Order: sequence, then C-alpha cells, then structure tokens
Amino acid sequence: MKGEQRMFILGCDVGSMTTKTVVFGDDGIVAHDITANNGNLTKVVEKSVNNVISKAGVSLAGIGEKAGTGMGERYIPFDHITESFIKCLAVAVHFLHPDARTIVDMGGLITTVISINEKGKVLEYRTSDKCASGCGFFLRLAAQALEIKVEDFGNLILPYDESAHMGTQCAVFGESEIVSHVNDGVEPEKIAAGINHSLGRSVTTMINRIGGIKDIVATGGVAKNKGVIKAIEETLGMDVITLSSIDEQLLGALGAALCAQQRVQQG
Amino acid sequence: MIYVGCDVGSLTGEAVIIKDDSIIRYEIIRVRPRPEQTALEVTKKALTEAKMSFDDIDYCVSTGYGREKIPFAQSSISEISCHGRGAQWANPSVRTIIDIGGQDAKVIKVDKLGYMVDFVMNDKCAAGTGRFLEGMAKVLGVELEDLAALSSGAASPVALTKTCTVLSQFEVLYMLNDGVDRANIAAGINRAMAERISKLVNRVGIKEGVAITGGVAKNFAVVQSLMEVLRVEFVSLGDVDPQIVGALGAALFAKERAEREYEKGGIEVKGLNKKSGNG
Repeated sequence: MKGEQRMFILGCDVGSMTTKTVVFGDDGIVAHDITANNGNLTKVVEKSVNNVISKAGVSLAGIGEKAGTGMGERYIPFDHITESFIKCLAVAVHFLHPDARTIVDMGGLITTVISINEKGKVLEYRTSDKCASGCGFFLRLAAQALEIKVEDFGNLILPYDESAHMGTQCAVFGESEIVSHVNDGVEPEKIAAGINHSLGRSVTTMINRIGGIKDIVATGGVAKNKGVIKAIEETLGMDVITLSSIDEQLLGALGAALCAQQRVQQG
Repeated sequence: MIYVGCDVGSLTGEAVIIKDDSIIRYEIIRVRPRPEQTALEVTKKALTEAKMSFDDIDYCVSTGYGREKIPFAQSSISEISCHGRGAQWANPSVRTIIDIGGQDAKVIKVDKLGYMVDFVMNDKCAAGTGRFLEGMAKVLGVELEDLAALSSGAASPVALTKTCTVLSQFEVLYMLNDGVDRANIAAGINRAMAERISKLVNRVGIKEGVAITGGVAKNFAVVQSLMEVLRVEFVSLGDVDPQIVGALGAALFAKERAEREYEKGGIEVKGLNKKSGNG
C-alpha cells in the first residue's frame, strides 16, 4: 500500500501522580512515555507528548487523532477528544485480554473496580473516591518512611502472621503507624509485607462489593506490586492477572487511543 | 501539696503542676519516639522550671498514649475523663468539649462536676484532625503556625469537595495549578475542617457551654469557622492553654486520688500526716 499514510493516534492519560502517553498505530503501540506530575500540569503534559512523539519518530501534525483521559485531562493543551477513564480501561483491557470480566485499576490516588461483559462493555463500576487508603500515593509515603524503593515493595512477600500488622486504613495514619513500627524496631521488610497485605485486603473488599468474576485483570501502577497482587489472590481466593504485553500504567492512555480510533472508523 | 498531670498525645506531650488549687507551671513538647520518653522529658522540664524535682511530687496521674507505662505515675486515667475534668475546672459552665488533637478528634459531654456523660471519637480518618491542617500547610508551602493567618481577607472562600485528607490535598494542588488565590483556598480549608468536625459533634449533640481544646484550638481561623458552622460561641477557658486541658485534668485527678487514698489510710502520701494503722 505504497503512499498510504499510516494512521497514528495519540492517547494521553493525565493521572494523579503521572501522565502517560502512547502513540498507537496499525500494529499496536509504537511508543509510550510516563512522566511524573511535578509542577505545572500543562507543562508536564507537553513534555510527555514531546517525548512520545519523538520516540515514535512522528510529529504532532502527523498524528491523526488525539484523545485524552484521566483526572487531569483538562490540562491537555491541544485539541483532543475527551474519553471517560472507565471506558478507556474497559476498551483497552478487552482489546488485550478478551476473557477479562473484571478490571481492578490501582492508581496513584484512586482504586477502581469495573465489571465488563464479553464485548468489553462496562456493566458496573465502583471507585474509592472518598478515601485514599491503599493507593500509590500511600505506597510512596511508606517507601520513604521505610527507606525501601517503591519498586522493591513487590518482592517483600511474607505470610500474614509474619508481617507487621497494619491496623489503619487511612493513608495519613498509616504513615504514623509505619513510623511507630520502625521505632519499635520492627524490620522494614516485615512492615512492607504488612502494607502489601493491608492493601490486598482493602482492594479485595472492593472487588467483593461488585462481585468479581474471572478473568480478573489488575492495572495501574500499584498492579506492578506483586506482593499486593498475591495478597489479593489469597484473600479473594481467585487468580488476578497482570497483562505481560503492556506496562500496567498504560491502559488508560491505550484505551483513549483505541476509543479515538473507534470514533474515526465509525466516520 | 504538689500534684502533677502528664498527657502524652500523638504529636505533643504536656505536663501540669498544681499546688494549692492553682497551676504553678506547665510545659508542652513535641513527642519523642516512645511515650515514656515524652512523659519523662516534659515532666522533668516543668519541674526544673518550677525549681522542683521528681521527689517533690506527692501524686502523679498519667493520661494519653502509653499512660500505663509511665513509671513515675501512681495511676493512669483515660484522656476523655481528664479532658472533661480539666475543661470544667477552667470554666465551670462547660458541658460540651470539642477536643481536636493531632491525630484524633473527640467530643466529650460532661456534667456539672466535669464527669463524662457521653462522648464520640474519630481516630480512623485524618480528616478533621490536626493532620488535615498539617498536610494542607505543606501543600500551600507555609508553616503550620502561619496557616491561620493565610485566610485573612479571603474574598471568596473555595468549597472543597473531598473529605479525605489526601484527596483534598490533590484538590488544593489543582487549585494552585489553576491560579486560585491562596487566601481563598486557606479559607476553604478552614471551612472543610469545621464541617468535618461538626459532623462528629452532631453525633452526640451540643449542650450549651461549649469549649474547644487541643492543639487545633489555637488556630483562630478554624475556631472562627467552627463557631459559624455550629452556630455557637465557645466559652473561654480563662488563662488555661487549650492544649494542656488533658494534663490539667490528670493533675486534678491526682489531687483527688491522693486525698482519697489518704482518707482511707491506704498509702503514705508525702506531706500528709500518716495515719496509724496497718500502714
């Protein structure tokens, strides 16, 4: 098909702690970028978009469609289609794993559980938008307090009764509880394992409220934490899948690109 | 007769020394890692400033976190009882006490003698506690002590939509990103704090004679907002620092216990005449 322009789509997900962008083409994701939300959000979005189009080897003018989602979507400075975050997750997970029926997105601030059907349509969803317990932001605070890298938290897996007990749900009080444990001489590894268990329990409660059906797919930054995934599986008594073909944080941006593609194809 | 009350909180520890029915010295310090350390340090500081030593104490009651572990206290009493007692001593018309501490918020209702008749506490969620304000001060880039003044002259206070401490911090961050005036944000924070506290108060209801205690009582902007939301005027605690009410109550209980023990002849209390008996 010589001479035919390849159609590229830009998907941009402005989250609570990071901005994710993808350039999506006929063969899938061509490039992606994840940038921390430090400082002016519009500048962060511009930076992430410049990074991703440069990695893709295209220019902004060469992009066919642009779509945005996430809680900070209004900070995207260029014209774009706005897509609901819930819909983006559903479309992206269904695209990559058609057997998915429950999506558990564990983001920087908010955990969302979505029930989808065999076509990837959203049936029901719940978000933890009243309380920031068990979120990526808390994990970051915990990592600082324990002087363990967030990326290493996932490896700290211990049986429940060998882990430090985390009594509080609140992210703010949780930080104090961690400091207490540290002052009592509890090993940081045991505290980290206890935190993984605590997060696993609160996420499982949300999954049970919606009635999670397999296949259960976990997405979002916190899904990178294998300790939390394991804790959910143990408490829930069901397998929780993480998609190996994509970075767990990119589902929102991918979904935005796919939604935009659908709109274009529908004319 | 020297009676001492010692209160270890989540962020600060207080000691109060009373003699002849008046407070002769009190101290407030930031907590140390262990409650016993905090209790020892703050009590020692108060005694030293009063030119006394631990040997001069006739009876000491401890309250707050780890109150059972304080070695120099003869007994320990719950902070709720101590708060009620201390507030009522400061102003006998007090019947409802709103205590906003670093990590919890309590509403205590007392009778005319200062004994607790009802209470409710939030220690599960940081919203409506000192922690909420601490987090906001960080986001706004000011010291906690300067947060109250920031809201002066706010023309149109913002309305925060999230209760959660963390979620509303992000809400404020977005407002700052959008260039919203900081005074208006600070005023919105005061209001959010007041509304959260009023929800707790409504669970037990107000009886007139409302006092506010705890560290947050020193934030005049939050106090003002709370009075507006609750539609009450807080009664004065006189010269009593609102942060020491718990320790004050503990010291008053120390006096009461010492006198009761003495009357029963059960213990030897230094300074009181020893009664004959099985001693």
